[in-house]
Amino acid sequence: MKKKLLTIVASLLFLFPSTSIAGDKVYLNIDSPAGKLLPLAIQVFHEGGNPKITQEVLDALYDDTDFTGIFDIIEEEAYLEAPSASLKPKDINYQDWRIIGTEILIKGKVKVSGDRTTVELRLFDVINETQLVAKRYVGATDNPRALAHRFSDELIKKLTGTKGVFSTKLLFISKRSGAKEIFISDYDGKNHRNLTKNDSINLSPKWSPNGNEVLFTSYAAGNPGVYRLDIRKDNKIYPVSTRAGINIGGRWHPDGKTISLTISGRKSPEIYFIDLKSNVYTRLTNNFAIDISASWSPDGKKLVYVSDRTGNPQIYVLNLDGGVPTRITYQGKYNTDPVWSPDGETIAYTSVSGSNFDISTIRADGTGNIKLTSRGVNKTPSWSPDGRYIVFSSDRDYPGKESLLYIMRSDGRSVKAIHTGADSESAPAWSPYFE
Amino acid sequence: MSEGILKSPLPYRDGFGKMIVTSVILHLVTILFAVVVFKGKVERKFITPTYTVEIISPAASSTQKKKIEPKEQEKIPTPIKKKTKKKTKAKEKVVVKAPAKKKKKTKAKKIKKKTKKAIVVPPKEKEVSIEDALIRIKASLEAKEKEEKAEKLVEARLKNIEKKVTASERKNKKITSEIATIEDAVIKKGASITREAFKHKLSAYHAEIVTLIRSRWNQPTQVDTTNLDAIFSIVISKRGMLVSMETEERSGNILFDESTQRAIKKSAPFPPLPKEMEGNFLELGIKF
Repeated sequence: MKKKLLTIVASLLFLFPSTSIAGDKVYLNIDSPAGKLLPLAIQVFHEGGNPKITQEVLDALYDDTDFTGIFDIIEEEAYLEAPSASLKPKDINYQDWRIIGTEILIKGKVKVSGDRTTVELRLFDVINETQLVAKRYVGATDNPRALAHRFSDELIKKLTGTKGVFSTKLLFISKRSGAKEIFISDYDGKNHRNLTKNDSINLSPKWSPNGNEVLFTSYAAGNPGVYRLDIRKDNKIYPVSTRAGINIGGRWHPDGKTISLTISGRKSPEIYFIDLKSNVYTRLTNNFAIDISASWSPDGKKLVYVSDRTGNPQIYVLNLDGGVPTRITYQGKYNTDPVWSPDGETIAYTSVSGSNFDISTIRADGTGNIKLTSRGVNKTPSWSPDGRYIVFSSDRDYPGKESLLYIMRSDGRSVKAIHTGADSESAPAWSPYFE
Repeated sequence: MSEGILKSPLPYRDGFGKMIVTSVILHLVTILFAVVVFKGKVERKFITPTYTVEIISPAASSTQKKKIEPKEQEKIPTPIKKKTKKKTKAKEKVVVKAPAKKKKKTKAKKIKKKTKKAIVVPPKEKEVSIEDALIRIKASLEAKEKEEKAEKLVEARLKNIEKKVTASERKNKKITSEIATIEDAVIKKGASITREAFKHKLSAYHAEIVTLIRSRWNQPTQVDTTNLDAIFSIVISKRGMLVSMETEERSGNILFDESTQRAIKKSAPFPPLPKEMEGNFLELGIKF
């Protein structure tokens, strides 16, 4: 009896799942074991004028797309479609591009007449046969790369949703015959030029929030003072704070109205704020420890800085709404150069243990400490405005002799040297996006 | 107390038996209830197909790849509205009169308009003279009229079927569907193949599709894809053409989403459907 019942129950139980499955929709799982680079083709047509300029536009497009680490650029020799002046979607033979494995295609043309360069660039999805971006830029002939960078910004925005950093700039220091001068260059180190030429020691250049001005420390007047320089206007240097003693490490508040810096106090160097409009000084710290390298959180509500109150320099976070400074670094001999990431989540800094100088990141609450570098003396990190990259200086390729600038992803991968052409470079600062 | 149990294990066992029976009955009631209540609900089931190798003589092989001519003349189904699909599974299985060959182009356009995200790949046609074009336009207008009529007919039939078909009837349905899904793909009438062999064929076909799409997929390198999913619903025609493609879910990461979408497109044309399969179209879910 029992057995019979059990068999009935068992058979019923088997019956139900099968009927319910009949109503399911079935999906095939596609799992790819590893990532692959996106096949990209770049073809630029020379429409007239100096062909060197067309080549420069093409080179910049190659450099930008290569920098992203997303693309596999297909060699020009493989292209089946000949370059043409028509960039219209209907004139593109998508099949010719698909055959050679292209998924994404950049087509462009450059025309140079007199001192005017006209660059038209378009982005196509070869698989879907759609035009994704179409832009025309007109500029001078002196910097055709800038026109390509603007297109690359759009390209990355279209493909990833976040604007590219190709039109951003770098500030850095270059050392030559004892003097340290401040330089500016494109994000990739190209087109560098002097901002200071005073044969003195100029240090720690920082950007204003709108990217129009540069704040830096200079020994030009004898004792270190903080100065500003408007790169959009006159490129002239104006003093911000030149009190007796030291005035160092100036940084803009995100609203651009206040500056934080370190000034000699009665007991020791302290952090001050200067209201730029009224020129009123407000002291933040007051102790026997050295407090330096203050950096604002992106919302301007917190300050991260270095203090040696425990005997060696460590990083502290201070909530400006009130509260006590919280020490966040506990590893290594000393830690310095803290700088907040654009999303406010992470702080990058230089961590020193033994004779190793490395770039590390840590969350603002002191958790999640990660060392990103391991080779050479690595210093002074600075975030790209999209938070995807960090630029820093390192002597990894010329140990103990010369430091160069390097860019890595914010997780420490794909480190690349950027060659500015200036001598021994240090203290890089990545610009914000320009309007 | 414990002694009692030890000494007389029988009543304990009896109680246990009763408990099992009660439990089973309760379970059954719950399951039955669930089946009755959720009968029409379509759930997602994800599978990772694997190849099942059958050793057969090359002549008998039907999964052999046929050469696919570029100018394929195919029937494209009248789009079935999503609404009806959701209500009951059975409604899907409507016989849809396939349009004439000439209608192909207008039909394709129609599908594109109707399902917002669907991408339709109309077969390419050679260039023709203006006269030909005029004739074609005329034909397409006529076709459109016919199409509208056919659509009304289909709608009427749908309503009719809606009344007739119940969940229990689903199993014994006599309606053949134009678009079959994996689970309801049936053997073509007259095809000399066992159910088991057909199942193998079908799962081999799925595996082929998966391998193909996987090989064409350029999964972005700079993106952590561990928690990213993109889900598509595609319809493959008898000869392996990608008839429609609909995005069901996006991950939100543009780079990832676009790469998956392109992977499917790049994989078309697919291998032709197993010839023993009834119907001209197969609907498949693809999950990345």
